[in-house]
Amino acid sequence: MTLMKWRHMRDLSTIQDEINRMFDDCVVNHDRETGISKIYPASDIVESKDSFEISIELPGLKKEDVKVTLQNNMLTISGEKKVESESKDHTFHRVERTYGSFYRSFELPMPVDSGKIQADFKDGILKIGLPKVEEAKPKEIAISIK
Amino acid sequence: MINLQISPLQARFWKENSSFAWPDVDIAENDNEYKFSFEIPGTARDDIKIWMENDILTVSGEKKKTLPENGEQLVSERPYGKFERSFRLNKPVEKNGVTAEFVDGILIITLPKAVESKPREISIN
Repeated sequence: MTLMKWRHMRDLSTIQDEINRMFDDCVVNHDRETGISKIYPASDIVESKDSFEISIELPGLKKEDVKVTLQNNMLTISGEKKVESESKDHTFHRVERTYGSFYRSFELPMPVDSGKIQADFKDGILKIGLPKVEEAKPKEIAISIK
Repeated sequence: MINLQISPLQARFWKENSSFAWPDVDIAENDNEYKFSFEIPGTARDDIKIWMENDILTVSGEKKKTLPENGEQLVSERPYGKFERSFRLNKPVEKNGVTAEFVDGILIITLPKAVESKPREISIN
């Protein structure tokens, strides 16, 4: 048995680093193939009787920076979050905000009326309202019992 | 340089440089100013509070969630709740000149440096 120098809290700090790394991997969405981290805009989806409403957090983006498409019941939001050009003469102490291109697709569980989709972008939240088509809405059917 | 001040509760659990500090902020500095930009999308202007006490800048507030009236939440990824972050500035700033704006979900706080903090060229006699 070899003697080792006692390092106070050594194991604990290793565990902490390990856990931090694990959480970082989850929070920052790494591209498994390229290893490059991507932006993964957080989204909420609410379904009501008549429609779906998707709200996506895209702080600092303008309407022109975002593209929304619908194809075969697949709603795709893509765009690029750019670093402000006026930051050039600044030295950064901390950069927690993420920048770069993003791409997210949502498969809708039922057909929506593509002609009536509404998108609204306010305070960094992109809200998309997708009305369901008539035949997809739940209907009450009266069944007479004999 | 800027040091971080952490609340005792936060300090107990996480180092400030972990992923748990929220909302995300970029801190920039040039010869004339400090610039903080926080990502707080979907928060009402009235729900954000900014104050300076001595050399500490604090931003706090609440990101409120409006629950759907007659719908079902299928996906819930967006963070909500109360937040507070504090930063200690090592160089004096012109407190009366501090400005804040809230555009596209980004809160930008600009703190002009006090005269004594600005770099100054010294001529050789």
